[in-house]
Amino acid sequence: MSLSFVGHETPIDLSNCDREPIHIPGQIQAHGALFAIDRHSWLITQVSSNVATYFGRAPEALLGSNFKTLLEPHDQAAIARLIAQGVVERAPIHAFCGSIAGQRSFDVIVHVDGPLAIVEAEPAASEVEAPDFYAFATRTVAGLHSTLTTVEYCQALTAAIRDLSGYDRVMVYRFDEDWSGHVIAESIVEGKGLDPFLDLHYPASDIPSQARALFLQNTVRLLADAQYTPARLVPETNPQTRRPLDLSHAFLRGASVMYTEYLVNMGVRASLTLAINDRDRLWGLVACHHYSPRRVSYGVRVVCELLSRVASLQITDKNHSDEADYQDRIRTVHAALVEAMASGENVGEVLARQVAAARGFVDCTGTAVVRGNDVHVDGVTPPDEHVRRIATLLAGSQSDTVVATQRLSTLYPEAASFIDRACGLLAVQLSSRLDEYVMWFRPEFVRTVKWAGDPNKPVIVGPMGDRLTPRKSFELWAETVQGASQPWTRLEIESAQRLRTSITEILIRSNQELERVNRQLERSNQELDDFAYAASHDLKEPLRGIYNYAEFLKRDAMEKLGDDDVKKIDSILRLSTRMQTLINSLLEYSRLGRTELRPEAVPLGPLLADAVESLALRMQERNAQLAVIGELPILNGVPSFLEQIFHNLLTNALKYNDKPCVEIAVGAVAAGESGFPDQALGASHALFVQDNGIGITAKHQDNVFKIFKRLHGRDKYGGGTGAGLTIAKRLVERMGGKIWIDSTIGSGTKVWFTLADAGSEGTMR
Amino acid sequence: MTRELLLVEDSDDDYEMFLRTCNTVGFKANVRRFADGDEALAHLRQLNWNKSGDDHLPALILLDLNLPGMDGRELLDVLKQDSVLRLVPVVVYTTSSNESDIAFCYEHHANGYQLKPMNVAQLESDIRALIDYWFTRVVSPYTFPIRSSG
Repeated sequence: MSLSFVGHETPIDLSNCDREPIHIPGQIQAHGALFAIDRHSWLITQVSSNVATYFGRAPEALLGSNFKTLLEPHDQAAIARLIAQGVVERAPIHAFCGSIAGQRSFDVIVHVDGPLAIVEAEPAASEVEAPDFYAFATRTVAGLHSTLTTVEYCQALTAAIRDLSGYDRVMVYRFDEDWSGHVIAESIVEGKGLDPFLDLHYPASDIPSQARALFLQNTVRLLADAQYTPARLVPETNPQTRRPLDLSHAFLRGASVMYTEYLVNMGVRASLTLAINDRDRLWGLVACHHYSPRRVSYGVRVVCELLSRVASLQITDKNHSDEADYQDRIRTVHAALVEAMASGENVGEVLARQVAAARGFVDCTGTAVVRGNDVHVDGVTPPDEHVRRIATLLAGSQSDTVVATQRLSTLYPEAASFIDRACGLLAVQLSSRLDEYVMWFRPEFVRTVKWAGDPNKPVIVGPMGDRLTPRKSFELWAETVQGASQPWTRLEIESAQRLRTSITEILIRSNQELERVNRQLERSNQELDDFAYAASHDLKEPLRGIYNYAEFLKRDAMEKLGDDDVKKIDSILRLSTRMQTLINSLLEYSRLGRTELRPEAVPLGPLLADAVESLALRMQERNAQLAVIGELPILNGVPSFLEQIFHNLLTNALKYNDKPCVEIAVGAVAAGESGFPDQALGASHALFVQDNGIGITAKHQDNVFKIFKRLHGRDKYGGGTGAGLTIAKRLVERMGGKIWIDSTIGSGTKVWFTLADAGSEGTMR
Repeated sequence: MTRELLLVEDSDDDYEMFLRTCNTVGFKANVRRFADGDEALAHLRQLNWNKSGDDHLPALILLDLNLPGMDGRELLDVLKQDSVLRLVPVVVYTTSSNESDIAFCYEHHANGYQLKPMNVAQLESDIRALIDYWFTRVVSPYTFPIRSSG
């Protein structure tokens, strides 16, 4: 495969790559002659050493003479016109076909570079072949236009160019992102037993960067004979510029030895290479190979060049329009998702509902929206539990907010077990704080890459020491690419980043909204507490009057009253007392919301001892045994709150018990220890107060926390307002914890509670 | 002549209960009652202006906190900033067991804080103790500066 020059773009010595001066080889190919002249005086300053072959004059005889003297007057005028018009500035143009120094007939091509005009003369094609190039080009372009896919297009292009140029093999070679490439279309002459190169891959070093750079400037490159005898430039250094002549734009530019060796290693004798450019990037090449020396006329080259330029426009236009369609689709889905998220309360929640729509965002086989333990999927995705773990992993790894990989298993080794379903991952983090992600999955894409030779050994150090020589082996070397999905394109990754930006904007807006609602709620809670406080306070005054007057009445009118009347007065007194208890509870409850919190490290052991001591008498009465399980930790909380929580829970344990001997256990389970309840997740410890009392049915386990909700008759189990657990709940919640009940009717109750989550601050309310 | 007890109390019922209890415990002193803070303050200022002897100021002010107009907290603050009136002992007499109320009153130099009980026996013993302390045990401090200034 000969496309261009083999260079040194290899790990062996990258610095060599820059040193290979392929634009100033100091020699040209032998199938033409070259003159460098002063663009103003027309004095010849440099010639190729082979001038005698074509014009019968030695280089020395020509150097210093006026180039005009070698030309017919009208040919002189043609060159002068081109130079004067400035159209040949670094752009070679065919000036005329005629005689030079009386020898005919030559195709003369001129371009200007700095103070120099460079004139190339190639023997003109024989008069016999004079195809109608215009008709050919028109017909071919029309035919190309009717193809559907890029590959079909390129296939038609290779056939047309081979038809026109007569090369044995014509290929379209397409570059990949890493500048390796492969043959996507090929046309081969029949009857010569040539093996197809179609689908073969070539490493990036086969067409080194400086060769690619030259193709952007000069889109046609002809090598007439890989075994040519170079025609040196005489003198070596141009006397006018005092530099070697820059042959970047010269058709006759001599080839690098590396390149000719490369071709010879492949058995190729002649080549023609045309660039296909996507704007300012090399997209691919049309490579024509011949197995014997071959030179095509200027006219044929021009039509080939025209075809490759048309191909540049049409192929890249098609690619751009495919991409534009995809981009439109992404934008539409993006807009729909953003609209939905902006109108919902929670971005994650909305996305979870919209998971099917989110799947259309990029080409994928499945989509998942993960919100902590909550997984919503659409299409083909890994099992929920894996999706959850991937999210946790991504959230914990400080990775970017957008993650794209073809090989999920490099991040998450367990993914190796389901690469057939999900091998590539594109993930967008929904919020920087949480393990909330939207993920798109792609399955494994197994393909076999057929390399023309081992891509790991493109260049070997040759017998000349550190001089590199191109590889000799082009034997098929098949590589199976496994464990990778189709790559995520730049468009897809950038679109994911844009989606993330939109989500961030929405989150910022909704956070502000949430904050406002919270403030409002806090205010109304405060107002409610203030109201309850004021109301209960005001209720106490008249109640005291009722009670005291009833007592006065009872005392003063005792003699006049019958037993029945006294009983009625006692009822007033009893009811007033009861009402006072209720009011006091309400007052106490409302006061909880008004108290300022001053959390500190509280050793729970001594604190429990205080609470127990205040209940000593009642414990004795109930014949109660208290066991502390293990050692109670030191936790961050409000001491008075904690004491009251224990007091209330112990009181209930004593009160709601019908056993002859009350047994109470108090303890703490640290996170990670066995028996640590799920509800306590996130807290450092779960505390409990357990009794062997009457128990609470599951139905009522939430009711017990409601204020004044009693589950038993007023005077059963010692009465009470039913505010004890409500107050405990409010105290626990104000310290940022949770409280819940685990109970079996008849055998006892275990009240669990936690304090603020470990490591979180400012959760006190 | 026993000096007055000044009761600032807006509730007629509480006033009547108080009088009744005073009667029960045998307290014979003059009880002057005002139903709001402004009236009480005006009266005290008037007394001070027309001072007619050592015993022109009340021996004790019993002050309810929640009052129409100027409430008990405000009145306490004004009294305790007055160079003469601040020497009259003020015992706050209220239903509120709120810690912040108690703290406020002591911070503003109340001489005592008495909760109104819901129990006649408790009421009687509270008032007996109050009268006993402020009318018989304590030598009112304001007698000294008034003498020296007059």
